[in-house]
Amino acid sequence: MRAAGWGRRTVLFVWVLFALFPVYWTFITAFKQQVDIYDGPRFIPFVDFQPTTQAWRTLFGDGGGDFFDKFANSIIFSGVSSLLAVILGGFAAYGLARHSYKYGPYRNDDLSFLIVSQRIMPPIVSVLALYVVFVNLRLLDSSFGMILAYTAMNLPLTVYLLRTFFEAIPVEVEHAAALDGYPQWQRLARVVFPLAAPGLAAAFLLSFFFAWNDFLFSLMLTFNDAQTLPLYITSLNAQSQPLWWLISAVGLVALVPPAIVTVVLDRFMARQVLIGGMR
Amino acid sequence: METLTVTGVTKTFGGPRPAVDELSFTLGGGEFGVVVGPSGAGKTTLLNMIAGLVPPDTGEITLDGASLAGTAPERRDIAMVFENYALYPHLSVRRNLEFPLRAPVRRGTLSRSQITDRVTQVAETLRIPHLLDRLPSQLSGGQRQRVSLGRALVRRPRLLLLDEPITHLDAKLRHEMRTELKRIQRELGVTTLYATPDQSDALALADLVVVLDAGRAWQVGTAADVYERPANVTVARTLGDPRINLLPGRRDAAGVTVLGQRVDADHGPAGPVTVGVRPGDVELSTEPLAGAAAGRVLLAQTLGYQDVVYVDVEGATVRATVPAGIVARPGDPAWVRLPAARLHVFEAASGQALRHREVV
Amino acid sequence: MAGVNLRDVTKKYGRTEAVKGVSFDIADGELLVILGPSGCGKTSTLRMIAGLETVSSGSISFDGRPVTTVPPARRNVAMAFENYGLYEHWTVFDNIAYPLRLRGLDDGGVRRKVTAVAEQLQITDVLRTRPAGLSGGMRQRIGLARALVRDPSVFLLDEPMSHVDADLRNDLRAEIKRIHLEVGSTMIIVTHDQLDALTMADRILVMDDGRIEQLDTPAAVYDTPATTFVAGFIGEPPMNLLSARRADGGDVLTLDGGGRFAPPPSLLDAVPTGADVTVGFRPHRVRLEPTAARTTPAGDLGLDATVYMVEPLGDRTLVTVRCGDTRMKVDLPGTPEFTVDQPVRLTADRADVHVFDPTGRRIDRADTRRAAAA
Ligand SMILES: Nc1ncnc2c1ncn2[C@@H]1O[C@H](COP(=O)(O)OP(=O)(O)OP(=O)(O)O)[C@@H](O)[C@H]1O
Ligand SMILES: Nc1ncnc2c1ncn2[C@@H]1O[C@H](COP(=O)(O)OP(=O)(O)OP(=O)(O)O)[C@@H](O)[C@H]1O
Ligand SMILES: [Mg+2]
Ligand SMILES: [Mg+2]
Repeated sequence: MRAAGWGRRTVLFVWVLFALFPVYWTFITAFKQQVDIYDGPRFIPFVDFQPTTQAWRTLFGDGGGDFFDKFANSIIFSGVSSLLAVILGGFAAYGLARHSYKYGPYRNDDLSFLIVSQRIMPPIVSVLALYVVFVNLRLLDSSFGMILAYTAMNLPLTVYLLRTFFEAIPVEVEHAAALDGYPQWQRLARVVFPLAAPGLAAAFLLSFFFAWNDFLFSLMLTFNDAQTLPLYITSLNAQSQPLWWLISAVGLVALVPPAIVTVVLDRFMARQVLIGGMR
Repeated sequence: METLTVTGVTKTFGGPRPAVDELSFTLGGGEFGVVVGPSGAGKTTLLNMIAGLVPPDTGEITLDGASLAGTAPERRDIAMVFENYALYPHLSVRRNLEFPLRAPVRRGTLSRSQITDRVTQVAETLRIPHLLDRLPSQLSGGQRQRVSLGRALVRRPRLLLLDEPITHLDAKLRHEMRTELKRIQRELGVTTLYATPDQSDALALADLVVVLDAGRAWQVGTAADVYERPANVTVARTLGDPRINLLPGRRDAAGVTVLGQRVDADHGPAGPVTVGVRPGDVELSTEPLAGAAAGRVLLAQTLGYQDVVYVDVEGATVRATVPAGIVARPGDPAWVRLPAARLHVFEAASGQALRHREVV
Repeated sequence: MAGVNLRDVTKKYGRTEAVKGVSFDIADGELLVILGPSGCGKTSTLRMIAGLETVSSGSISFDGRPVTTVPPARRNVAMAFENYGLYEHWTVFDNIAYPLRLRGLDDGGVRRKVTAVAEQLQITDVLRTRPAGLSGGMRQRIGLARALVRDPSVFLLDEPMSHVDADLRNDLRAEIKRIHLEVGSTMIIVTHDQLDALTMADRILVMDDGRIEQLDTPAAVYDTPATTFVAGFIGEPPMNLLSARRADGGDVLTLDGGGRFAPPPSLLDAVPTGADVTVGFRPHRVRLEPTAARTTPAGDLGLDATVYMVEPLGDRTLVTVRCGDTRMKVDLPGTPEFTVDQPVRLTADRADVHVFDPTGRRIDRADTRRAAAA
């Protein structure tokens, strides 16, 4: 038993090293100077090379250019568009889960498919179309336009995901709330949305990641004011010698918001177990 | 004490026949009504219409003389215990019980301490005070059932609807809960309508029984009415366990012939009839008996307190109950006699009752 | 056909011990029902007999031939599952024929066997349809047919009636029993419904918490339950159980709530003094009368109580009485006149009263103990 335990642990340890190495590498690179990078690989701080905070000073000092603007753009676009996608998608999904719609020959499942089918196209196709629309509507390089674009891209996903979550809630629970004296919107607020919390959290998370990591939309639809972090990073790379230490520092900062969102929402997702108690 | 009337209520979901079909009955204030019928009879649909969760196609439902049409469920002040309990999984038992008292429609009518008092009181009545801080997922089926009942009772509704509240419990708990339910209903005096597939619930609990099958009410009456004086074959088949024997027979001026024997009952116009006889009324003998039909034992089952013997008589299967411990083996010869006074006679084609057994 | 023998069989799933050392023998051609509450290890036991689950310790043999390590396919057992396990896209015929085709039986043989078993179960009409639209009872029969068609030596059914409503359940019990009489193969049926067990079994194996509580005929399990668990699990409603005490040197038992019971001397000897024992009686084996009209002879069980609720059931009536904090059920014939809160006296004959020791095991009368030993 013990031998097997050690064997397993060793394997896991090696795997963890393997998985975490890129993060480690980014981390130490953010504390390197130019010579440490271009003069062969250096692995261990204080031994291989002397860490400096130069990259960070540049970033947070004057040399960072408009880093903070881009960072704020990324947070606002991702946050607001995900929130909108979850709220709007939530209502749409609730409707699809609880009511029967009939448009000509089309029923709920057809509507649902229609919505998801928006994502079948590669984003590059939609983005070209969006570009033309944005030019005409004068939305290029605007915060409003970007939020709109991300919300639109994320809606199919949230609708599709949340519909199954709402369907998993027994309709009798809502009926019980109705008889207990709660009007429709109160039933949504007090019963349905709390019970769908894991789904809402998951939908928010996926939307957030999509918007946060997006490069293509930002590239095509913005050129200055509304640029996001990924584009900023690219701009650091565009010079004759990539500024690896800066790129790494920005990369590290870019890890923080998704990590925070994940940690916060993870607690809601854990509530999934509750569904077991509904029947 | 609110009287419930249901008049000509019909609901079709698009199937070939209505889920509930021209249903009418009146349940007096403070009475215990039971809707009994097999799966798919339309019981849940009926309760949902009364609660306002499903709109009827036609017909009228009134409570205390006033029509409920157009009143949203949250304004009807009707409580319902659902088949699957439908507790709020994200709320503790205490919060579940408080939930109806904190509803917008009751805002300002109860102080915080009054709410606490009510919850404590109902928890004590249902013997669940020790469960108040648990989540529904941490409760057993029987405990969930009690919480669900508590949530319905805590606000003293005008009408209490119960949808198969004890069907899924084990035998012991089911009996305990049934007794408790009847007792609580008596004490509170709330008008109650209870849906169940279990005929013994109907007989045990009801002031008024509605026998529902295929969406239709086949008889509305007291427990004694539907058991002793079933209006038709469907009702006779629904009530009673083991089930009533329904045997083909003929009637003429001299009496009824069934199982090849002439029994002196119900002289009337000649025609085919269905003879109903409860297994407890069948006289079974292992020796030849005057006026008895000869048959062969198919099967003997024990129910513990009594045995049920299935006898094959000329291709018809007759169920008879006998005191436990009388040994009957498959293949043994047996004689079956149907006492004339204990027969129900139904018209074969329509199934309508022509005659009931005499009450002893 | 085969007898089945289990010796000290246990089943562990990680740390939980689902079956805690059970030994029993099933005779060739017997219909055994394994009965117990949810999670007591019924399915685990059945699956070990089928070979679908490994045995943690102990051994299983068929007709004395050890099969503990024999794979399921070579045990010649058939199992019908809780959820039927039918292939929805095949016709009923193909579903039933499947196990035969799997064994390489030729088409003529398959047709003959399937037709025969379909006739036996009265499903000939639906052989050409797909199971999808059929009722629970029908699907049940198809599942049975598929298991039966192979002439298995042991036939295993797990909760065969869990999806069938009450009405049909009654018919199916009779049906399964009839099939067993006709086919004559060894059958083991798992259920948590005591009526299933009473009505179908040759013998009932009552399990609780991974252990055997009793193995006996339905009548014996009902009339002489081996433990308080069995007494409280079987019967509709089950046995009334009251705790009681025998004072030092006393010859009566004082019941909780104030009643008394004078056991026959042959039983009294075996009742320990100064410890809580349990007294039980079946709801239909007691008399109930208004206290005012009291005529009870001394020496039997006697208990003063008040009526808590009356529930008529057609030809009989259930009266619940309350005595202190305990409630008891009395099952009376006809429709006697009792009213709620009426004081009543409950009496029972000695022969109908059961006594269980502080560990919950039945205490037998000395004479029946001897009879049983002989
Ligand atoms: N929302 C619905 N849409 C379509 N058909 C429905 C709907 N609700 C009920 N039905 C149909 O109406 C009939 C009556 O159903 P209902 O649920 O009222 O029966 P029930 O007596 O409550 O049965 P059970 O004992 O199984 O709960 C059934 O045939 C059912 O299939
Ligand atoms: N594959 C498994 N892994 C872990 N535990 C299991 C597994 N199967 C069963 N158990 C546990 O073993 C115990 C006995 O389970 P089993 O399925 O035999 O019970 P049962 O008597 O058939 O119950 P039920 O009536 O609910 O079907 C239970 O506590 C169950 O949780
Ligand atoms: Mg229903
Ligand atoms: Mg099981």
